[in-house]
Amino acid sequence: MMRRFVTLTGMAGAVALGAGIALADEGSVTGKLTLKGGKDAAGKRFVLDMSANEDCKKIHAGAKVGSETEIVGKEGEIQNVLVYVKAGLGDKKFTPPSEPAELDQQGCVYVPHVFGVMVGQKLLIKNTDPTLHNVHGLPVKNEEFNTPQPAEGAPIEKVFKRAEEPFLVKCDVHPWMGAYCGVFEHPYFAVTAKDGTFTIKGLPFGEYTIEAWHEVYGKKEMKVKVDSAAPATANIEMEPAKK
Amino acid sequence: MDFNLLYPYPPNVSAHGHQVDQLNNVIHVFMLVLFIGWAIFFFYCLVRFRARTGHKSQYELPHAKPSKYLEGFVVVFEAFLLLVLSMPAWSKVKNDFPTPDKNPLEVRVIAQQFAWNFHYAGKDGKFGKNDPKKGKAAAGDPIGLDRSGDGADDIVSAEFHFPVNRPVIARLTSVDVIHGFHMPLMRVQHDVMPGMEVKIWFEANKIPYEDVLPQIVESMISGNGRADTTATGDDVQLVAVGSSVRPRTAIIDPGPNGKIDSQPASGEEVFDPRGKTEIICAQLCGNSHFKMRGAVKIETAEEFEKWLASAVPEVFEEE
Repeated sequence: MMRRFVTLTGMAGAVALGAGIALADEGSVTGKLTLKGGKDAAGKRFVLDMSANEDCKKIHAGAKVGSETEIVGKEGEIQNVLVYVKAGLGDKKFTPPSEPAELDQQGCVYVPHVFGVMVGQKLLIKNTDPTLHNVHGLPVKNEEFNTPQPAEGAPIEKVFKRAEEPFLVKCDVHPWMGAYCGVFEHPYFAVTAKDGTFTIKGLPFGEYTIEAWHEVYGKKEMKVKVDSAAPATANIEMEPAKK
Repeated sequence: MDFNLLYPYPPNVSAHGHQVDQLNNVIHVFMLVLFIGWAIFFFYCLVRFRARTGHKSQYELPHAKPSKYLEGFVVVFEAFLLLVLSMPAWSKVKNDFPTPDKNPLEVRVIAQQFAWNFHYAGKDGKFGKNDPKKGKAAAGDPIGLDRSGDGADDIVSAEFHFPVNRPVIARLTSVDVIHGFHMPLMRVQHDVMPGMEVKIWFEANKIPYEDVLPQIVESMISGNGRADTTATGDDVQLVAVGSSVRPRTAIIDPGPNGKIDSQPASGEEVFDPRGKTEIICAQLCGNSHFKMRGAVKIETAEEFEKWLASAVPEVFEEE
């Protein structure tokens, strides 16, 4: 009888505890990045001039490829903004995922144009193009690297030891190519899609400073509070580049 | 003497190119004469002074008069090559820059690892300032041009356009390491140094291949040893699809319109022997030096002006 009581209480307690854990502590931040002044304030996108390189021209077979430095939609929504948690995580340590992040070279353009990796996470750089590329990373806090990569060649693996603001990865053979890579000690970062929206999931409850980074518009911070399962909103308006 | 049979020079489309070729030919002839002379003497010595019974080696040097005359002649001839042929040609190219009345076209050539950039002054004739460190090709500005002031109408291009029969003054500079500006068809070559701007000049007097190979038109050639493309339009299939051929064999003829209309299959390419005049980098500058080519278009004055007027970055229209 006593044993049954203890078991039942124990089970009830475990359920209650379990329910408590499931309810506690994790939310998300979602938002939209827009440009002050809308699309007209952005620099015009232009067609990338690949005339110096026959291989790249052939891959596109006459199709036009647009520049990627400023991609702003009709309502001013900005693509390729890297949004990340800047402060509020305290001293928590995070383990990097085992799946590598990927950077590919397709049609003489880096895909994705902007991305984030964690400290210690593998970055796999692939060359899907039938032409020579040369991956030249220019980090400040991590080691600079400059590796040629033959046509459809073996992927290059890189691991970064220190957190760093987004740095340029360029191709020495094709001057118009460029990608930006940010290195973080935590997994809470995202890149805005074509509609300017982003979502950072799995954030423990708390108050955070999130920062938005763009290669032309610079950085902008916003404070956000995650205190429920419903996503916290952080819509950020960035200033256009000074002319 | 048609040296092209022995030593196939690329076609010469430059006004001063024949002087370079001439010098090259004279040196080769002189080398040949010397070689035959010395070879005869060498074999003569081998035979005349061979080891045989009754002859002991002589360890004293002979003092024969003829060798002094021969040496003297060589010195005089080399002086002739230098003072009469090389130096005047070089001096003309290096020092006799075209005067303003010849309306030279000034272009800045900015070399970087591993591409060539060409900076034109635009309608105002003045070059804007540029800072290569601020340059960002991905943003359409590879040389970091200051677009305010004189730079507002400047043109920066990845292709080197210049008109025929007009002297061009090229101001060469590099943003990183030493490169080499080499245009074989123009017989022009000069080192491009970082931190310096070197002026050279040249003039094209032919549009490449126009006078040299007027009959040759495009053809489709096989690269992989097999004919994979089917002729379309007015093109003529020279080799049946699927048959094996030696690589670089023509498999499709362009037909009456002189142009290849068929789409090349994988492993095939359209070959135009008129091709492109190119700039080849001539100083080892890094891991992609071999790929550092610059596109060149030598054209008529009207075509050139038309290109200048339209050479603004094309705006990308999204769907």
